[in-house]
Amino acid sequence: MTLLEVEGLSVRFGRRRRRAIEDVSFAIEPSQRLGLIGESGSGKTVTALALMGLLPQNAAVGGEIRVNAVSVRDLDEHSYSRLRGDAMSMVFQEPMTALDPTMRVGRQVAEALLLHSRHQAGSSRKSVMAMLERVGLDEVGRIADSYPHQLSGGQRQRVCIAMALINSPDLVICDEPTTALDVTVQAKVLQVLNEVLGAEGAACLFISHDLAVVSQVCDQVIVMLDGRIVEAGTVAGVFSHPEHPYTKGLVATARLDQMPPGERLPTVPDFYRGQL
Amino acid sequence: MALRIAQKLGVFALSLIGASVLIFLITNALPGNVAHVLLGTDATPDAVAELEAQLGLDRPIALRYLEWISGIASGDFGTSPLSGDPVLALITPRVGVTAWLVALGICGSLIIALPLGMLAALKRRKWQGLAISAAAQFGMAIPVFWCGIIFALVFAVWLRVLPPNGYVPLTEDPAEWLRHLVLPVLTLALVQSAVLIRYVRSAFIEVLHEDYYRTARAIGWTPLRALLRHGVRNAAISLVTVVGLQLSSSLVGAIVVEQVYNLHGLGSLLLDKVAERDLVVVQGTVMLLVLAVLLINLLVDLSYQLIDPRQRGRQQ
Repeated sequence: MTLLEVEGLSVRFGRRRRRAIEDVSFAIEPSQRLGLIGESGSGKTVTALALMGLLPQNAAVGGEIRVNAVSVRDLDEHSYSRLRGDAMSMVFQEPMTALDPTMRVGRQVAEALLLHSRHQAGSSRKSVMAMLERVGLDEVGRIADSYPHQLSGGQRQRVCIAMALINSPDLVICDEPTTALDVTVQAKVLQVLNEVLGAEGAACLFISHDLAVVSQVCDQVIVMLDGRIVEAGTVAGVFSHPEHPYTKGLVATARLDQMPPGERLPTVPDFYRGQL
Repeated sequence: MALRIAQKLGVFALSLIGASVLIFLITNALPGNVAHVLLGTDATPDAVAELEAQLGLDRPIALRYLEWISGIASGDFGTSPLSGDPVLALITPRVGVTAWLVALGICGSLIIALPLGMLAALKRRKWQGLAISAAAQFGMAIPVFWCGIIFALVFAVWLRVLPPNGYVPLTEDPAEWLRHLVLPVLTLALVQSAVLIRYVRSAFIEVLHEDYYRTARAIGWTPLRALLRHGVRNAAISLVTVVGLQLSSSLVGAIVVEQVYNLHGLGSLLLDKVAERDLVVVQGTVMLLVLAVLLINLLVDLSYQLIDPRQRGRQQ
C-alpha cells in the first residue's frame, strides 16, 4: 500500500489568494526516501507544512493528501493530531528555536513518546535515553537534563531528530534539517539521520536546496519551481540527465568547481530564462 | 545566581532610600507645615515659631529626615502631631483591607484575563477572538468608579444580594468578610483584566508564531494543549512584568474602589490625612505603599530566574 499520496495539492494564502503551490502530486512508498529540491520560495516548506496540517490559519488548501489510504484532509483536528508525531513526524530547519527554551530537552523527547503511548513516566526515561544514544549523542544523561540553550546547534538538531523518530513513524518529513548547521556537523547529522531512518524503516520526504545532501539521503527526487513540480525521477537519473532547463541550471551551478577560473559564474536563471 | 540576587537586593535598597528622600522632601516642601495647620490662619508668626520649635520643625531638614528614616527602620513611623496617635496604629487596621482588595483583585483579573486572552489569541481570526478583543477595548474605557457604582446599584440596591459598602475583618466573620469584598474585588478585577487581556493575547500570539510551538504541534499536541503545555511558561516571562506593573497600578485603583464602597483602607486614610494636612501620617502611608511597590518589583525580578532557565546563567 502506498504510504503517502498527494494529488493536485494547492495552497493559497490570505484574502488575495496568493498562490504558494499549485497542482503538486507525488507519492511515497513505505521506506522510500524522496528528495524535494528547489530554490527558496519555491514552495518546499509550504508543501511539507500542508502534509503535516500545520499551515497558518490564513492558508486555503486544495487537493488530496492520503496517508495509508486515509484522507487526512477529512480528519478533524483531534484525529489529525494523533497522526502527528506518531505515523508522520517532522524535523524542522532551525534547531536553535525549535525546542521549548523553558523545558529540559529530555522531557521534551519524553513528551513526544508519552503523547502516543501508554508508557509510564519511569520507563519512558529509559526509552528517551536509548533514543538519544541512537542519534549519536554522548553523555545522554547530561544532555537530557540540559535546557536547549545549553546545547550546540548540532546537538539540538539531533534532539529534534530523536523527538521525530521516537515513535517509529512511517513517514518523517525533514525540512532542510542541516541547512542551519556548519559543514562538519552537517555531515554527522546526515549520517545519523540516514542510520535511524534505515533502522526504523521509515520513509522520508527530504527537503533541501543542496543537491549533494539530497543525493546522500534519497533515491528519488522531485524538483519544484514557483510552486509547481517541474521534474521527477531517480536521483541518479535527474542529476545526470536533467531534462527541465531549471533542473539543468541547478545541476550545473552545483558543479562550480568545473568552471574555468576567471569566467563569470553561471546562475540558475541563465539556463531557463526565456524558455518558460 | 547568588550575585544576581545580591544585585537586585542592592537596587531594591537604593531605590527605597531614594524614594524615602523624595517622599520626605516633597511632604516637607509643601507650604503650610503642621504648626500652621494646628494654629489656624490667624495665628501670629511668633506662636507659629514657638510651636515649630516644640515640634522640632525648626531643626535642619537633613536631621529630621535621619530621625524619621531611622525610626521607620526600627518600626516606628512617628506620631501624628494632630491627633497624637502613633502613625503605625492608624495604618495597621487599614492595611488588611487594601492588601486583601489588591491581592484578590489581581488574582481575579488573572482568572478572567488568562483564559480569555489565550482564547482571543487562538481564535484571533474568528468571531470569538474579535468579540473578546472588542470587549477588552470597551472595558478599558470604563472608569473604575463608574463600574463600582453600577455594581453597587445592581447587586446591592436592585438585587439586594450583596452589601453596598463597609468591611468586616476576616478574623471576625469570614462569611461576611467575603460578602463585603465580592463587589469591590470584582470591580477592581474587571477593570484590571480589560488591560491584562490585551497583554495576555499578544503574549500568546507571539508564542503561536514561535518554532517551538510548531514543534509541539508536530509531535501531536492539539493547538490548545500545545499552548497550555509550552505557551504558558514562555508567555509568563513577558506577562510577569505586566502583572507587576498592574499590581502597582491596582494600588491606585484600590484607592478609588475604597471610596466607592466606603472601605476604610490605606487609600481613604491617605486622602483623609492629605485633606487634614497631617503630613507625618501621609509620609508614613506613602512610604509603606512605595515599599510595597518596590517589593513587588523585586519579586518580579527574582521570578524571571525561576521561570526562564536562560536567566540562571550558563552551567557549562
